Amino acid sequence: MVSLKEKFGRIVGADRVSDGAAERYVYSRDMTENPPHEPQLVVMPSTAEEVQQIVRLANEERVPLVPFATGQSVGGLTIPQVDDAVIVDLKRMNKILNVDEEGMYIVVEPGVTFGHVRKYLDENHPSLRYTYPISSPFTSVIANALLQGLCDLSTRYGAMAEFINGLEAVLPTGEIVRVGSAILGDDNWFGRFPLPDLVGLFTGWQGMTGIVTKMALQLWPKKPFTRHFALFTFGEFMTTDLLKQIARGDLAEDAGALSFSVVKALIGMPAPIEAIEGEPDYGTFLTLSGITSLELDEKVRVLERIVDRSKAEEPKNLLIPFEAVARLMSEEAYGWVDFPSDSFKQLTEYDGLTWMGTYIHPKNWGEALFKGRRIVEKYGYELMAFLKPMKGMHFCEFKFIIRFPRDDENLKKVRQCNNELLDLALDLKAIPYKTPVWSARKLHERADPNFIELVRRIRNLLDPNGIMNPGRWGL
Amino acid sequence: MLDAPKDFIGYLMSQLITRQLKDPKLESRVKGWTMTVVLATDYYPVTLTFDRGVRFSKGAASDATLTVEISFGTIIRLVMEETSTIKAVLKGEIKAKGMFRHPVAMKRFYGLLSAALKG
Repeated sequence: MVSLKEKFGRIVGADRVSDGAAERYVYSRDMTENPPHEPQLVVMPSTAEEVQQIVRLANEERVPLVPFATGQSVGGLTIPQVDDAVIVDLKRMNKILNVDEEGMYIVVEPGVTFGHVRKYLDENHPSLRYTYPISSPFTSVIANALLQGLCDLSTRYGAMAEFINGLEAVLPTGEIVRVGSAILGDDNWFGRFPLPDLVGLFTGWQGMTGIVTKMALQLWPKKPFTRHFALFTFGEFMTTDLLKQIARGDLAEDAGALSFSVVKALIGMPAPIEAIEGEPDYGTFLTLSGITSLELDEKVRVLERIVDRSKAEEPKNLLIPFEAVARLMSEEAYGWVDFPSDSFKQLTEYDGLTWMGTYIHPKNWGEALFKGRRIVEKYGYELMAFLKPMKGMHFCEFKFIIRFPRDDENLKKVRQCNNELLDLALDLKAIPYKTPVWSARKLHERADPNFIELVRRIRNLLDPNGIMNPGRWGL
Repeated sequence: MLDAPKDFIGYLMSQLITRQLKDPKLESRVKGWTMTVVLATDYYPVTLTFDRGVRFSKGAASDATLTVEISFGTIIRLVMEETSTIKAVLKGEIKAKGMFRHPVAMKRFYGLLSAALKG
């Protein structure tokens, strides 16, 4: 009798499938507190056709599949939720297939990372840029877009899923489909409209509706004049109010605010970092740009006026040119704003890392931050809030990151802390993103039941055998 | 020689001054200084204790040789070389208590501060 391992080996090659104890261990966990669960196998396809064959075999054998791009998400999102799962590791599918200069998009496979894209564009298309998050440079750009994360253009353009022009996916029943304008063929990935917008069948689903094998993502012209600033502010409400004014003024293409403890970590202060009375509460990195120096200078003047006005309420608010930040703190500071992945290493101080992040209505942003801070302080963790005005201030992001040593006591404590943070967020009608299963279940309890039922129906329609990432998102 | 302060301004000053003290001649001179300087910023005060080296601590020592009042914004303007310590003193952006009783300490500290902020 041919084993499952041999069957998958016939598709991808025997050396690209493993049931070794080391692989099963590595793929069973991430840095978060989410419980590990070992898969039975790991397979590594290199083409969409191989993915298609894997999915067809999984249907025949009723084997659950867990898509895995580069495994950099922090949320337990690639940890199997059922026994005997097969991890489909897509990192061998790492080709940048096309950059269309005129249409300003890039077509990539799921193993392509932010590091790859940045290097490729800098070397081959220096007039264009993609958008980069505070996450490892090894993060898959497709996974990040599918999970509706955020990046250093989100203040202006919104969550990463907004950047998707179209995609190709293997459905849970094995068909290869395209959505978006490329249904009329290659070299035509210009957008999603005017069509039924089926990109939404894949974004936010955490791999339950198919395996995306190709995606077109929007690029943007690099503006020739750019300046960065750091803004030091005090108090949750005053900080969010000021950020709202800056975002609504359409001044900054990025405004990433951090608890001041994160700023202290960035300048090299050793862990654990304490928030000291009298220090600013938040440091925001702002990026302003213009087609001409005149445009940029005028934006800077407006920004300075907004900050000056805020001094009537808090005289210690301070806008600092990044040249001063670099001179005072470190030349590395330019990396924090030029390629935010550079600052991710500060979050890997310990072997544990977790976070609870949401998108939230602007009216509740300050309160969420204020009350969330009290929860993190109660548990004695470093204050590491990240916040960002999104899409010109149509909504906001806030998250609390906790870096921790992975011992039993801390695992228990971070679970409790994240639970309390999520309860607070849901009380304020925030929507958690990149949700681990426990978090999705809490959302289900409060969400419109007809929405959850619709999600179930769509999933069952697309995946009648229930092989795609079962148990994910609490379904 | 330097403790690592837990607060932002203390840590920043310690890093900037440490850079300067890589010059062995200056390090040797500073080791000979005995004085206590309070840097009273608008965020909070930090005490620099010069005694065979420099120690940084948050808060204001009551027996300070010098107390230098300066906002963090003025520190930034000094870093950007938009002003100088002399100009800032003349404009009242830097105020010093103890300057007339301890002119040598003042000269030493301003020299070190200027060099540290210019990198």
